[in-house]
Amino acid sequence: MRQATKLIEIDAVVDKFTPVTPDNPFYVDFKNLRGDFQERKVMRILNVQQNTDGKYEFNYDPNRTNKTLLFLAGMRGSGKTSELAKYAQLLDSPNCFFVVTCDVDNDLDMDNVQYMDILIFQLEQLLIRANKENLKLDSHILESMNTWFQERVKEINTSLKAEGSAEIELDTDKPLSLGSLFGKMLGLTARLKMGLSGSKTHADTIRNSFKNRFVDFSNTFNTFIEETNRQLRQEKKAREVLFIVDGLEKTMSADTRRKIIMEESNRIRQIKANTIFTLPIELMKEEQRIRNFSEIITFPFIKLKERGGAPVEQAITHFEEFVYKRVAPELFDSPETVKTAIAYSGGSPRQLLRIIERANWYADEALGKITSADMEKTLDELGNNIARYLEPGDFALLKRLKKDLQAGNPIGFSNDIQGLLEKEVIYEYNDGTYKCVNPLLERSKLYKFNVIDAQ
Amino acid sequence: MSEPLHSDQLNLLARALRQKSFHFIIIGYDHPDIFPEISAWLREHLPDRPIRELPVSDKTFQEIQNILIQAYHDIVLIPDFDWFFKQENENISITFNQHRDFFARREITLVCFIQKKLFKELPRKMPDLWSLRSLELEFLGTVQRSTYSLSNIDDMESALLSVFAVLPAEPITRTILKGLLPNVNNLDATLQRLIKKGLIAFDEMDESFTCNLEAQETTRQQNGEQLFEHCELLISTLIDKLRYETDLTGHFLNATYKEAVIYAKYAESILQHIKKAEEQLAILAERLGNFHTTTGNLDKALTFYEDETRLFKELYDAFPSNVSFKNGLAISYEKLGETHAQLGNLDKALTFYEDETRLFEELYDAFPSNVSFKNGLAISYEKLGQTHAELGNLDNALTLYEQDAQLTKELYDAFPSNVSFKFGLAVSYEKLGETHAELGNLDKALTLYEQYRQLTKELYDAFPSNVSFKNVLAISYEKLGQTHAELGNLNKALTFYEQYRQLTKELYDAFPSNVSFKNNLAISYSKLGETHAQLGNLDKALTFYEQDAQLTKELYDAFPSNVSFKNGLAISYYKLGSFYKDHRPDIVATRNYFQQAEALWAELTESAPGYAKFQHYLIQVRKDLSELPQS
Repeated sequence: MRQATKLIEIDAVVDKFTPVTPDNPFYVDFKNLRGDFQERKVMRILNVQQNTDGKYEFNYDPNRTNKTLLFLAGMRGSGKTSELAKYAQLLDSPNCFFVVTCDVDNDLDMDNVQYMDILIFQLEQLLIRANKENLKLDSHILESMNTWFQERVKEINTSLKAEGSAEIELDTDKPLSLGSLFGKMLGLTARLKMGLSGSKTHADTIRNSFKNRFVDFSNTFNTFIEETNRQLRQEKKAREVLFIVDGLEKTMSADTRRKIIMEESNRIRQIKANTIFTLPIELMKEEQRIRNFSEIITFPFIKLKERGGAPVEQAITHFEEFVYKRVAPELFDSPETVKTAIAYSGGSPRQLLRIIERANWYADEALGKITSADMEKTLDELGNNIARYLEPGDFALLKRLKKDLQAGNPIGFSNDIQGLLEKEVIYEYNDGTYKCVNPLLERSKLYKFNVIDAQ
Repeated sequence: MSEPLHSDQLNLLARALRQKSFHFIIIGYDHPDIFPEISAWLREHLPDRPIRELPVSDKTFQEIQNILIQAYHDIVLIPDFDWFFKQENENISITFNQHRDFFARREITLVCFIQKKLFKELPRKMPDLWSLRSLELEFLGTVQRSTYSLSNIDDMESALLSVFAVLPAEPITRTILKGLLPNVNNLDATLQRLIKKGLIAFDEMDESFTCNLEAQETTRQQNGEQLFEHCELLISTLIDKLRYETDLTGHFLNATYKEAVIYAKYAESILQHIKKAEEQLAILAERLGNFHTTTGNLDKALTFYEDETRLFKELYDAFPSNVSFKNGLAISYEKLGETHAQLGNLDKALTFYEDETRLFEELYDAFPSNVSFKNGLAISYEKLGQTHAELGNLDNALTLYEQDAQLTKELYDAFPSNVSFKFGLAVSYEKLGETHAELGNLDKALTLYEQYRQLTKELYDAFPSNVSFKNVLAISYEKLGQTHAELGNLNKALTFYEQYRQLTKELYDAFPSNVSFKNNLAISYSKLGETHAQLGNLDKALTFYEQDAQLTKELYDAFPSNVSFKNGLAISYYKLGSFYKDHRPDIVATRNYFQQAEALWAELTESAPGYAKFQHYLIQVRKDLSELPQS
C-alpha cells in the first residue's frame, strides 16, 4: 500500500474495510485519544506489562489460574478490528501470548450460531496454528482428546442416523504420528464445523451432544489448553494461548447475540482460556451482568471535541497524519479542506475515509485536487443521505437528545439510543455516556428542519 | 444518445466504479425501467469493466455466493436487492450481511437496487454491509429522456396534461377530476384524445386516469412557464375546496375530512412542482397550513405558513402598492403567530402578531372605509392581546382587547347583518371577559360572558348547521360555568357545564378528526369533574376526571409538540391527584398523578418559557408533592 499521489489512486487507499496493523504504512496509533479507553487498561486486564525493551510480557507465574475473559464493545467503523489486529501483533511473542485469531463471521456459517460452535471453531484454529508452528504437543493428550471427540461423533451419528440424516465421517485408522493426530483432530473439528453449518437439525444434534456433556467437554478443552500452554513455555514460543474472537457482533439477530453472551454465561465461565471477544454494542446495557463473569471495555470513537466544545488538538493532528499517510497533501487545495473533513468525521475513521472517497469523486480531474467546494458538496450529500434513514420518531428523540447534550447531561443506554447508534446517527465517546449527533447529519436539511428549527 | 436525465448521478456512479475495488453502492428507485437503463448506460460508459447482473430472488445463499466467488473485480448489479428484506428471507439476509468481509476481500463491486420506500430497511437488516457503503443514489423516474415531444398536441390537451403533471402520479377518478376542473369545455373529449396518444392511461374498472412519470416529467419541462397558467382553475378550485372556518376550529366548509386529505395531497403536489410567486399559490399554501393545523400537525402547518409568507413577501416586495399582497402578507404573519403560539414559542408569536398589526394599521390608515382592513386590524389586536395575556401582561392584554372590541363594535353597528362582524364582536367580549376574570373582576367578567353568550346564541339559532357558531356557543357556556363556579354558584356552573359538554360531544362525534373539538370535550369533562367534586358527588367526579385524562392523553400522544394538549394532560393528572388527595385515602395514586403532572409542567416551562402559567402550575404541584406524607 502506498500513498496516493494522484486523484485516481485515492480509491485504493480509502479502503474502509481492511484493518490496519502497526506494520502497515498507513498505521496511526490513536492511543489515549479515545477518552476513557486506554490500551494500558486492556494490557492490565490481560496481566501484561511492558519490559525495558518496550515489548509486552505476560506475567505467567502470578496468573497461573487466572484466565482473562475480556469483551471489547464498540460501534461499527471505530477501528476495533484494527485494534485487535494490533494486539495480535504486539502480544504474539515468546514472552507473551500465542495468539489465535478467530474471525467468526468469515469462517463460521453464522446461521443460528451458538457458543458451542464458537468453541469448536476456536479449537480448530488453535490446532491449525499449533500444527503450523510445529508445536510438539504431548501425543497422549491429543490422543485422549481425539478419542473423546470420536466418541461424541459416534453418538451424534447414532442420532443423525435415526433422523435419517447424513452422518459425520470418522477416520478409522489409528494415527501413528503427532502430525497425523493433528490432522485427525483438525479433520474432526472441520467436519463438526461443517455439520454445524448444515441443516438446523444437524447442527442442533451436534450441539446438544456437546452441551449434554459440557462439563466433560470443558475439562477436555481446558486440559488441552493447559497442555498447549505448558508446551508453548517449554518450547519458548509463548507463555500462554490468547484467543481473539472477532465478528461476534455480526451474528444473527440481537436475540442470538444476547443468548450467546447472557444465557450461555455459565458455559463461558467454565472455559479456562484467555479470550478477547468483540461485543455487540447493544449488550453494553447488560454491562453489570456481564461483569459478573468477565471484563468489559468500551472502545469508543476518537474524541475530536470535549464536552464543552474545546477541540482535542492531538486527535486532530493524528487524523491529519491518518489522511496524509494515505493521500499526499498536494491533492488537497488546502490543509483547511482536510481539517473540515476531519471535523465532520466525528472521530470515526471509517466515516473520514468515506468523506475523502466521495470528495475525490467530485474533484475535477483536470485540476487534480480536492477543493473545499468539493468537500462542502460531499458533506451536504452525505448528511442528507444519513437523514434518509430516519423515522419521524427518531427526530423526536434527537430533539430530546439535543436538549440533554446542551445541558451536558450524560446519556445512558436505551433501545431507542441503540437504534440511533446502529444507524450511525449518534456517536459515543469516553465510557459511552458522552454522545454526539453525527456531525454529517447536523448538516442535513431534514435535521435542521425537524430538530434545530423546531426547537 | 441524448443527454440522459440524472446525468450528474450517473457520472458520479461511473466515477465510483472506475477502480476495481470493493464497493457497496445503493441505488434507490421508484420506476421499474431504471435497472435496465442504468445497466445499459454503464456498459456503454465502462466498456473495460465486466458487468454481471445477479437477480437474487429465490436463490439460496450458496447459489449467490458461488456466483460472487467468480465475480472477482467485477461490477455486480443486483436489481432486486430488497428481496432480502422480506420477512421470509431473514436468514439469507443475515447470512449475506455476515459475509461482508468475504465480499470485501474479493474486491467485488456490488451495485444494489432498492425500491425507494424500502431504503430504511437496509441499516436494520444489513448493518455491517451498510456500514461499508460507498455511495447512495436516488433515481426518481427514468434515466432516458422522453422520446416523444408535446408538439403534436393542441392547447387544450397541453393544458390538461399540465394538470396531470402537477398532481401526484397516481390514478385520479373521473369524478374527482371533474370536481377539480368544473365547467371545462370538452373535458371528456380532450381526455379521450390524450388516451389515444398514449399520454394518459384509463382504467375502466374504477374509471380513473393516470399519467405516467415520464410524461409528467416531460410535460413539466416542456410546458415550464405555462404550468401555472394551465393550472389556475385547478388551484382556485382547491383553494375553494379547502376553505375553512376562520375561528380556531379550522373546520372545512366545502369538503369532508376524508376529501380534505386528498385535496391537501394534491395541493402539496402542486406547490412542489410550480415554483412561482403567485398570489393563488400563496393562498393555497395557507389552505394547507390550515389543513395541517386542523388535523393536528403543527410542524407541517408551520412549513406551509412559511411558504405562504415567503410568497406574499416576494409579491409585496415586487409590488409594494398592491394592497391585496400586503393584506395577504399580514394574514400570513397572523398564521405564523398562531402556530408558534400553539407550539409554545410565544416570543416568536408576538413578533409575528406585531408585524401583522403594523401592516393592518398601515392598510386601515390608508383605506379607513375598507371594512376588511378594519376587521383585520381588530383581529390583530385580539391576537396581540391573547399573547400578552399568556405572557402574564394582563394590563397590555386588556388594552388591546378593548381596542379590538371597539373596532368590532363599530363594524357590527355599521353592518348588523354581517355574521362575521357579529362573531368578531362576540369573541372580543369573550377575551375581555377572560382578562377581567384573571384580574379578579368576576362580576364584570360575568357580564361580558353573558353578552358573548347572547351573540353566539343568536348566531347559532340563525345558522344551526354552522359548526363554528355551535363551537363558540359551547365555549360561552364553559366561560359562564367557570365564572359561576368561581362565584360559588355551583349548581348554575353545573348547568352550564352540562350544556357545554352536550354541544362539544355533538361536535366531536360529528367530526372526530378535528382536534379542537376533542380538546373541548376533554375540557368539559374536566370542568364537570371539578364541579361534581365540589358538590360532593365524588363517584361522578372521578368518572369525569378519568374521561378527561383519557382524551387528553390521546391528544398528547398524537401531537406531542402541541403545548395546549401537553398542558391539558398535566391538568388532568393534577386534578386526579388532587381528587385522590382530598377524597380518597390513596397517597400512592396521589403522588403518582402529581409526579406525572410535575414532569409535564417541568418540560413545558423549559420548552415554552413564555407561558407564565406553566411556571405557576409547576410551583403549585411541587408544593403539593412536598406536603404529602412520606410513604
